[in-house]
Amino acid sequence: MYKKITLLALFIIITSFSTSSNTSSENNYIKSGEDLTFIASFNVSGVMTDIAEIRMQTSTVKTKIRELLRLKCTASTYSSWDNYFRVRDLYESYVNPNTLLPSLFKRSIEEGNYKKNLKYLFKRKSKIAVSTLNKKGRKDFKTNVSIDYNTLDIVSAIYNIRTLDYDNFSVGKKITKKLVIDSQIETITVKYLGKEPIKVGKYGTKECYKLSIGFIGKGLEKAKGGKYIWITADEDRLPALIKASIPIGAIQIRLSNFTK
Amino acid sequence: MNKLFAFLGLLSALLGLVFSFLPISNLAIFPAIFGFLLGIIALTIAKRKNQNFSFAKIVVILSLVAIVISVGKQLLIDNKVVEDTEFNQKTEKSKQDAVKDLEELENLDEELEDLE
Repeated sequence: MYKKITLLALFIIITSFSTSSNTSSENNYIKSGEDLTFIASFNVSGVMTDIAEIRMQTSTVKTKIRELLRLKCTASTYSSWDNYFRVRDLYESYVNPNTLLPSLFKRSIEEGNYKKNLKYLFKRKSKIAVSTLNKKGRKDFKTNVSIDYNTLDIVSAIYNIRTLDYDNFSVGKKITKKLVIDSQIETITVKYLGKEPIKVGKYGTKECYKLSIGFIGKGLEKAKGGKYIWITADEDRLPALIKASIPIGAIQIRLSNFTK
Repeated sequence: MNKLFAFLGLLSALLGLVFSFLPISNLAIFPAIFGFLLGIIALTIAKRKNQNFSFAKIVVILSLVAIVISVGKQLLIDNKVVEDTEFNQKTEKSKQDAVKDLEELENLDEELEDLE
């Protein structure tokens, strides 16, 4: 169950995707050196149980000929949970700092005894993402996934949604985005629902853009249900709060700390 | 009736006690309070009818223990992620491997065009 919760949580956090189809937004908000910490909680009958810490960090990575932005997300269970169900998940996306389009995505999951590594290498001109899956004790499984120019991965999508020009959005405006999830192309919708004040931990109440996340198609059918994300309506564009309903309760991910 | 209250109270108290030792200890408060109330009712009835009320007393005490553990853990224990050297090393290695993969991609000149 935890596996589903973490995936769902990341989907949601994830789903924060970007603009419509053929144009990618210019990044004016996400810079190297950002460090966000979140508390992931499970809500049963109004009682929140904190389960894990999620961190999202950005840094610059240099290759021989260029600089990329590394978007790193980690999910680690709190020590009280480690003896029962230890989670150490690592998600990384290496993106163009201007467009936030990914060149490489890596996902390494350690959830209890379950381990899995997944990698997508984006060859945009060839319009394919080379997916390499490795499960514990098995051989690598490679497959090519057809993509278009703006196809994202789960992590770059999270960052991408933060860069949208919500001030010029009308309430109800819906945007779709494609991304690679589990070696398949999935379509996600982001609906702008207006502004709402949200309490952001020790930082007080902040005005936020409220977004509703939806999934199109059967691939993410299990993840359907109410999913919302609030992004601060300021220059930081911080994902302040994420809420998702699941059949046995709700997941809430709230920002607890950030540095830039 | 008295025994029924006491028995249900005992079940609730035990459930609360089990929860209080798990990471979901904050949820223990519900069955523990429920058990406490049932224990008090059983205790009152037993006293009124001059019956033996030691069973009801046990229910009340177990419930209180569960409540104290649950509340104590909430107040005294901070949620934290332990420093995990192995995970940190794995993260760093992943970055080094990624640079190699990215440089291989760069060697494919035709793919680089869209990445700059």
